[in-house]
Amino acid sequence: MSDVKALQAERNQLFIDLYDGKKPKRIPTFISITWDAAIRYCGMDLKRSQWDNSVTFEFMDKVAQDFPFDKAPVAAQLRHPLHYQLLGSKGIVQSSTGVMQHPEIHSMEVDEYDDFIKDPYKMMVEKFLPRLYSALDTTPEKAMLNFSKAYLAKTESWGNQVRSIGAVTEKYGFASFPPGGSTEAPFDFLADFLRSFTGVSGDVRRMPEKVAAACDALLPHMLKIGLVPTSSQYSRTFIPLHMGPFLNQKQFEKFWWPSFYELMKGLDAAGAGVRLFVESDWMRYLDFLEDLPGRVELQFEYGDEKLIAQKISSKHVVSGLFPITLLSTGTKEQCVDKAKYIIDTLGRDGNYLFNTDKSLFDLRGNIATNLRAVLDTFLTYGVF
Amino acid sequence: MSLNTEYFTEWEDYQKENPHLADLDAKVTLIPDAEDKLYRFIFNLFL
Repeated sequence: MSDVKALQAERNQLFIDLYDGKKPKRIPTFISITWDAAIRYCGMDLKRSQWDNSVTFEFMDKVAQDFPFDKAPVAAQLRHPLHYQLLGSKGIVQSSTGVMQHPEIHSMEVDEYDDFIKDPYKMMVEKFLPRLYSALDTTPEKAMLNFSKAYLAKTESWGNQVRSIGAVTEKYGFASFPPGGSTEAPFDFLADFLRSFTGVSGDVRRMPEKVAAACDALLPHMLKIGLVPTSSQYSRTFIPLHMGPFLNQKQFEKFWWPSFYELMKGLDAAGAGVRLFVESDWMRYLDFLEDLPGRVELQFEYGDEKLIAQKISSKHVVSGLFPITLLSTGTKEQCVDKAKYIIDTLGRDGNYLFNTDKSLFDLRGNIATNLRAVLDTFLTYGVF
Repeated sequence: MSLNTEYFTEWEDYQKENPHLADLDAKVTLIPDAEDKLYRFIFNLFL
């Protein structure tokens, strides 16, 4: 076996042990470096590089070489501009400098709950898509052609990303597992592009029964898109958690939690491990997270490490928490000290996976040096 | 869990509507795969 293959096998085993509940040889490391960060780090133009498939491998390769985490560090980009451009997207737009932005938008009107509850997918196809994408708000013939172009373009651009990540993974021996699914909590899906954050916040007061019914109607769809043929404990379903912390406890327990919990039960029953990106502050809901079925990976954006260690048992995997702001504003010593603190507080029992609190949008200035120092700390101090 | 939508056809229902395909399983044809891929693409436009 070549050195690279042996390294990959060793890295794979770290994740297999972690997700199986066995203590790995050391704390595994994972990070999500955005295209924004990777492209700028390589001195490339942000806007042009997102459009030019021929350079994808180049910036992924450079970042992988400099930041040897256990998985390929530059993630696939959900917000690739090509198909959004072809569709005339209103909810995802590229700025003049190349940053992909998500202005608040709603596509579902407040008087459409009854029709939505009867058949959510039908409403999405017939009513909401043309409101979100201007190229679909036209004659049926043009809409058909525009949709087909976008589908073909997305398939090609996604394929390019997957091939580039695959090539980097094999070149450097990163851990490799088939892709898992991705979905959302039904309430979050209702909020994001349908009713919007503002809209749904009012709906829970004005028409609570309909909001609850809408979440129940969405549940089978959220479960279906969360499962792929390769779903497993190692190829996890990714779910970012959005609205929970912005509701009061009563609203959270009545509207957000029930359908989400059913989603988690469905995924667990299907054998799919889950990685939750626990966005914002979930400290008051730690008991809920502890009660989730299966062995869930909880990537915390924000949290009190000691409280998490106390409330989240060895049943689950904790990750995240390392603040990217510290990488930017702190000294190398402060970053290393924080890494050691996380290792000592959360990492010693073999149920922690290193990750930053959120995806890295920048690698310039001190960030690259500090990130490397943090990684080196986990590779040495994080050994069992 | 049923999807209960008129815009997604399960393979078994598609075969009932097209009896000449009744002897083919899902893996042989690309039809359920195409249905699934389209469905996921549309949901992806809302994520």
